[in-house]
Amino acid sequence: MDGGMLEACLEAAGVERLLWGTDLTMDTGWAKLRYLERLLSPRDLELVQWRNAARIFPRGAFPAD
Amino acid sequence: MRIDVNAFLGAYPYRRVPGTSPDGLLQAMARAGIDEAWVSHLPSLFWRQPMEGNAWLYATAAREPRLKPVPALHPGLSGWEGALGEAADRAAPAGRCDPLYYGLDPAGPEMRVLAAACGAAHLPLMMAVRLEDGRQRHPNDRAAELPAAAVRALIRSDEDLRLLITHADRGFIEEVHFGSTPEEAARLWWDVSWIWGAPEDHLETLLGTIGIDRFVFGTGQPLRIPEASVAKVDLLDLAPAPRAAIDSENTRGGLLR
Repeated sequence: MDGGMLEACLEAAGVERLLWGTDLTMDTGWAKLRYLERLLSPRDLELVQWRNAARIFPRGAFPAD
Repeated sequence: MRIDVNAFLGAYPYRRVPGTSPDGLLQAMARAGIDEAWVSHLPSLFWRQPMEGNAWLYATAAREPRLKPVPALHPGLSGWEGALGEAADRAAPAGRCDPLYYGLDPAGPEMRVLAAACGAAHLPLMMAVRLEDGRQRHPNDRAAELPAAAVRALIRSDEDLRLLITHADRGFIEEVHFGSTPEEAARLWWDVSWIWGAPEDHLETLLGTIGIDRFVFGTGQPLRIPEASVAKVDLLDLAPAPRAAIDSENTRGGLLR
């Protein structure tokens, strides 16, 4: 995960268009969330963690629905 | 205690990178729980005379005890013996040479002379396999990656040489380690920055096949976010002793002796 990449994504796409994914490398996926903790407010971090996904996927897509 | 053996200071020529200043690096270290970083001067990696960055590096590290300078050594240019002597005098933890960035044959005569000199000076020599993923490199960033065969040739060329190889992946490490004698392999250390973590977990595989003694904590920051290396080791769920071995004890026992 390159330094500056997440800042560039936030600038280009905005926090409401980012969803968390790992591409099956858990370390880099987890690292991105850790890194975003310092860039984002708690509310915006939740958007990336799950709220954006819950908003765009159909009801029933997630167990908590 | 966590030591990052693979960190940089200064601007990168091929893209905008945040946090390249000493203060920026120290903030990232605090964030990631890193107590000490071995720092190289990034801009001079691309200079015709890379050793001209060493003075700034020493001055910067002298102001901050958490930063340890890793000066550049270019064995194809005059003055490199003096730079090596200065590194030893200033108790630098290692010297670095990136032959493909310097336009040198990575196992050629200049590198073999440097290897012997580092061995005689008891100074570990650091080399990076790459700095960035090939898919993301700038079109003009054409330096080839360090070949595994060159690392094997260098470690074989001098019996006192200790090599610290950064940014190596599993295939590279296996090719060098299993192509070396046990005595040669025991003088090689690998940072974890480019090794895949869970769930495929190349790092866990390598710890089992090669042994934990050969691996040290490194990040490649600020070109890469340090959280990735921390998360990779966290996900191994190691007992305290092997965790400490990777975080700092292998570095202190193997490279700082």
